[in-house]
Amino acid sequence: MVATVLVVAMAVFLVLTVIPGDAARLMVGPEAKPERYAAARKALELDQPWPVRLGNWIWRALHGDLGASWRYPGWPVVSLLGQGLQITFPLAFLASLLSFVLGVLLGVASAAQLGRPPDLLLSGLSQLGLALPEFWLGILLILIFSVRGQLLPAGGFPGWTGERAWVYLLLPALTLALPRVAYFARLTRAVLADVLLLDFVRTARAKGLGERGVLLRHALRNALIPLVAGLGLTFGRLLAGALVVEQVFSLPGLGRYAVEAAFGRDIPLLLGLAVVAAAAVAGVSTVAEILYGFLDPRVRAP
Amino acid sequence: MSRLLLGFGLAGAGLLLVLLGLFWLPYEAEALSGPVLAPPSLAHPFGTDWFGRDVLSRVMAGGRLSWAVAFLSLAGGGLLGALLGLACGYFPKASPFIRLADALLAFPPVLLALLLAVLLGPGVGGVAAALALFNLPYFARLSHAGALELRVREFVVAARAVGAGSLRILARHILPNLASSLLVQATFSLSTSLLAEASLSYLGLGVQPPHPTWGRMLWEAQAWLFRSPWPAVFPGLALTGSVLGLNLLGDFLRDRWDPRLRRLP
Repeated sequence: MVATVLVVAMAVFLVLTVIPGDAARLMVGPEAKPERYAAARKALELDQPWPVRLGNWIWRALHGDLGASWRYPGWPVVSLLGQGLQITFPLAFLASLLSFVLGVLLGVASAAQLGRPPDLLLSGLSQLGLALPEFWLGILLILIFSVRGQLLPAGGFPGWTGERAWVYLLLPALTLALPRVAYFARLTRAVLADVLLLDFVRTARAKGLGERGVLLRHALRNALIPLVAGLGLTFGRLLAGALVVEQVFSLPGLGRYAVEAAFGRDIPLLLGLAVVAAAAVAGVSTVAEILYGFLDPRVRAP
Repeated sequence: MSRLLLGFGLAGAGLLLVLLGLFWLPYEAEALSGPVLAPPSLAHPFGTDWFGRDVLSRVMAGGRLSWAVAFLSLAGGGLLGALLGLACGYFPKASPFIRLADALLAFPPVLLALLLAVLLGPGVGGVAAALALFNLPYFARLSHAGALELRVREFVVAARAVGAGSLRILARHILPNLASSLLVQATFSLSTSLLAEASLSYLGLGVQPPHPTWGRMLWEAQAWLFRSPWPAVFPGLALTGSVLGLNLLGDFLRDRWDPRLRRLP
């Protein structure tokens, strides 16, 4: 896990070093005196060769210091990331949970009735989920729930101290969740369709268990491991990839900082974001692997 | 069969609208041709926007860049990817270089797009190059796997035995056998490129104004959502329709030509 993060960080560092453009010049402005320009270059360590900068950066990162942001002067990257995570973490959590629950329900329904209406709904939904751009889905949901219905806020965030702050996360979470419902539903359906042909299912039916009991008590357990793996993957990806939807609903999460950093060529902030993204995906899959042991005794056995 | 018709219909309609727009637009895309924020009518089938510009004309003109970037990035990424994959699969000495494609695939996709957008700058060339890097690994992996598999087959060995050179074998014997799966991948790459271009220009990191693009139009229309939904509905409809159509077309072609890749029933 540490290795993954380190490799991604080094790759991003190298990519960002070859970007044309002079960060020190950007910082002091085109008419600055040569002394100020030289001082800025020294402050940004641009006078050092890149292996030295990479080494320094890794050394400080290991001590919890990711440097100071260029776009937001005076702010350490670490605290910007912390602020962004306060929004993005609950958002990603809510969205993956929502898509997981809806997806498993739809998957069970369609496995119980292969080729019948829930199954057809699923195949339509997976095509739409692939094709719908997230930002347009967000706009449509705003149209339905904010403009027409006036039920939910169309965007922004009052801060966690504000009244009913979580309401502002509902529409963004729904926007992120809907295209991913089909993924969980297909996963559930695929496993169930295989398992339902096995002997122990026939035994369960033969001893008189109802179809609901067979599906939920016996068959669905077999889908838990791929489902938890999928949940982990989705959550990790959303932490790094909720960027467009955060922009639609103007939420000040990690994605907002990513876009701002891209506009402002804020290299320390971009590097910090890359570290968070890699750590999120790697960390979540580690947690998922630990969970497998609890879910499936076969994984626990030596 | 219905998938073929629907796919062709949707993607064809999206592309046709844009191609027609190259020669003829109902109004100038930037002309103030009607009342402000009018709902759809006979004179303005898609309504008008906040300046009174015709939304249909802007959708037709805005698709030009989206489709152009998608085709350019497909051509670049597909060509380079196929070359890399074929070379690595056919010549054992070159095989370590396929790791380049794997490395591109391992990056978080959104972050990759963002980095490349910063790296290459705005403008058609920059965005197309960024998306080409996006497409490259898929073509590289496909042709790498194909070349590895076909290299040892009898017809290739026979061709080599009668004196055919490596280039001739690759071009005349191996590539034609991969053509169908590469073409299937091409339809999917085209649709993801369309989507990615729209996302980048929605974020303001794509091709810069004044050229309208579908993504940028949606970003601008969002500010007027509480006054009129129409400028935000139709560009999205054009984009989603085109992407959906291409995906359906790709599914159809895959089932037709490449039974091994067929999805679960």
